[in-house]
Formats: sequence, structure tokens, C-alpha cells
Amino acid sequence: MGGASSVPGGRKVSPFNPANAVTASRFITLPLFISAVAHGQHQWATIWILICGVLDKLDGAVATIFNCKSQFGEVFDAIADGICYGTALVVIAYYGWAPLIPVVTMLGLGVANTVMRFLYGKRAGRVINYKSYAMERLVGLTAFLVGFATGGVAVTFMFWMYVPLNVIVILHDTKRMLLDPVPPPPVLAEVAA
Amino acid sequence: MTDPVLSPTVFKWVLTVLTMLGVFWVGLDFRYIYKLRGADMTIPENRDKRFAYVIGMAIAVCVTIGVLKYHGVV
Repeated sequence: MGGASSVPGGRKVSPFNPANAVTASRFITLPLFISAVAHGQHQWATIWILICGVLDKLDGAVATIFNCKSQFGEVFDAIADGICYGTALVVIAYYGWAPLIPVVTMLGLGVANTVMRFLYGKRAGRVINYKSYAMERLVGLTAFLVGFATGGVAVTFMFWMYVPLNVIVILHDTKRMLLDPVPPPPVLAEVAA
Repeated sequence: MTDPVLSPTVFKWVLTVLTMLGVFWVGLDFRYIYKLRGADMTIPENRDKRFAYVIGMAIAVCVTIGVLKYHGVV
């Protein structure tokens, strides 16, 4: 993890805080999920991805309770989303629980989104996370998609309907991150306001 | 770890309830987009929110159709 990052108001927050600990704890569910899928245990696989999703929702609440929100935490959360759900998608596709083409498309678009976030950070010249409200919804849906695959819930339909939504959101976010002006740092924004 | 933990029927309904809870959460976008009417759309964040709420509504509709397919209704 990197150094302390600032929050609005200029206060420094250590990266070793409760919210980031919750985010990191999501990685514990990954080997358990992979083991369940490898052993054909559909229900346990569903339980582990459900726990991963709950922890994803919990870290934001923990950050609010302990007052430790930071730019680093937001970026770390996005990275954890990518690693957890990306790995889960690869695993379920590998074991034939999900259609391959939509999964490959989703992963490709996920990588493109990560590259754009990196370029956005380069444009801004600081650690910054583009808050994509639409992508938040799609990430939530990705967790559900993995659950649909482990539970056998209309898998083909669910995965194929995700693809056009993903393409539309990526196109929107590409424009926002690469073409639109980068907002000023939070402290400067507060002064300007 | 033994599998299955639940009977197939109970598991099916647990998945359905969890999914519909998710649909309800995303479905709140119907309310948010209504509350957003009249907001200043020259502000990029407001445009982002409106776009996200439309995506959320599309997700809610599609997942509901998927659940109906799962239960053999459509």
C-alpha cells in the first residue's frame, strides 16, 4: 500500500485503516470460492461470492463510521472489485458455469476501464478515482452475475444482457475520463466553492 | 464443506429473494431520477447521475425478466 492520502479538508489518512482492512478481507473469500467451484459445490460458491459482495458494501459504511475515507481507499476498493469479480468470472467460465464470450468481453472492457482510470490519474497528476455512478451499478450486477452462474439463474440470458449495458457505460466513462475536464483537488474545490 | 447446504427448492427461492432485494435496491433509481428532475444538467455530476439511474432502471428490468425466466414464467 502507498503512503497516507488526504481527504477533503487536508487531513491525512493512513492506508492501514479499518475500511481498507475490510476491503482487503474480501481476498480471503477468493480461494474459498475457487475451491467450491472446483469441487462443484454450487451453494458454497454462492455463499462465498455473497460474503464478498456484502464486504464490498460494508467497507464504505466502515469508512464513514471510522471517518477514514480517502482517495487511496476508493482506488483500492476499485482494484479489489476488479481482482475479486474478475477472478470469479474467469473461474466460472473456466469450469463452464458461464458462457465464455460474454465473460471475455466483460474482462476486456474491465481491463480497458482500468487503463482509462490510470490515464485519468495521469491527466490529473494525482491519486484520483473517477466516480462512475453507472459503473457502481454494473459492478454490483457483476457480483450478482457470478451468483447467477453459481446458482444457475437464467445464466445465458443474464450474461448476454450485461454485455450491451457494459459497452454503453464504458463508452460514457471513456468520454468523461479522457475528454472532459478533470475536476480540481477537493481542498481547492472547497476553497473555490 | 458439504454441498448442498439447502434443498434445491429452498436454494432457488433464497436466490430469488436475494436477487429481488438487489432489484429493489437498483429499482430505487426510478425514484432518484424522479427527484433529479429540474436539476441543473449543465453540471457533469448531475448528468452522470441521470445516466446511471437510467442504467440502473435497465438493470432492474432485465434482471426481473431473468428471474421470471428462471421460474419458467416467460
